[in-house]
Amino acid sequence: MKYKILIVDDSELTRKIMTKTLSMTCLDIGEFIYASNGREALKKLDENWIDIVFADINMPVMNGIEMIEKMHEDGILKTVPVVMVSTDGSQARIEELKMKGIRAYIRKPFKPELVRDVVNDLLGEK
Amino acid sequence: MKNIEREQINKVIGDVFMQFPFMFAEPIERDEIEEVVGPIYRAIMVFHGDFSGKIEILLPKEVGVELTKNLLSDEFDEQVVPEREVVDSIKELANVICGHSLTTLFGEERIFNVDPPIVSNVTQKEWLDSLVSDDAFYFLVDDTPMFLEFKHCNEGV
Repeated sequence: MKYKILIVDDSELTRKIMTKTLSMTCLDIGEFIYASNGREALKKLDENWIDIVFADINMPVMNGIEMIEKMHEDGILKTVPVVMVSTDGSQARIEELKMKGIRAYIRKPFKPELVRDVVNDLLGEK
Repeated sequence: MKNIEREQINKVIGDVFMQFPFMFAEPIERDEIEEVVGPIYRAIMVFHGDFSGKIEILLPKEVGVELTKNLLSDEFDEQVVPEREVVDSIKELANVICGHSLTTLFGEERIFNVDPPIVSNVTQKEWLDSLVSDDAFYFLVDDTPMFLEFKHCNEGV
């Protein structure tokens, strides 16, 4: 089964970079779905079966942390792995995010190999 | 700014440019900065936390265009790069530089809140006026000059 990946970021450029990076991996990706904030992402999650979410932290309307909190209020959505992608290198911040329920953290800039390993780790290598 | 901090910032900039858009950024002295032809952009990042301050980056459009082409190589190989994409690329670069500079200078245990980057155009006069700052760093990015200023203070000072 091909992966359906949701990319959540208010920057179109970052969504493009994430798409390009994921496309450079050997992952079996079926479709990319995009949202520009947490609220939009929750709508897409409601409408689609998503295998994994890559999300920014700071976004207008609803940020990445609020999005995770909402996902954890839903029995099904809380099982969807969320990977936070940010420039922040603070271990204290990363621990705080893990407590909130993120499954992995990727710091920018990142290489395709790292993204591939995170996906394989969370979804199981095919 | 202490010499050790200057070395750390120089390394951060070199590493970020090498890893992110695959460009070469080399530290240079102020008097090596030449006149810039064409539009110039300024990106400002303000941060708050145990330390507060701002990072300001001034770079010619030429660097912004090259940056965008490198980040989105499939899209703009032979085309004119839209202004919006250039501005977004500069914002993303400023974000990455700010995130890595804060961790390098203040360690991984501190939490900072960073405002969204603001990008605007500056005049030649503003470019030249900025070059006299004592907190400034100067680089050649793929042979084009770039200026960065890092100012910080303890919270409450």
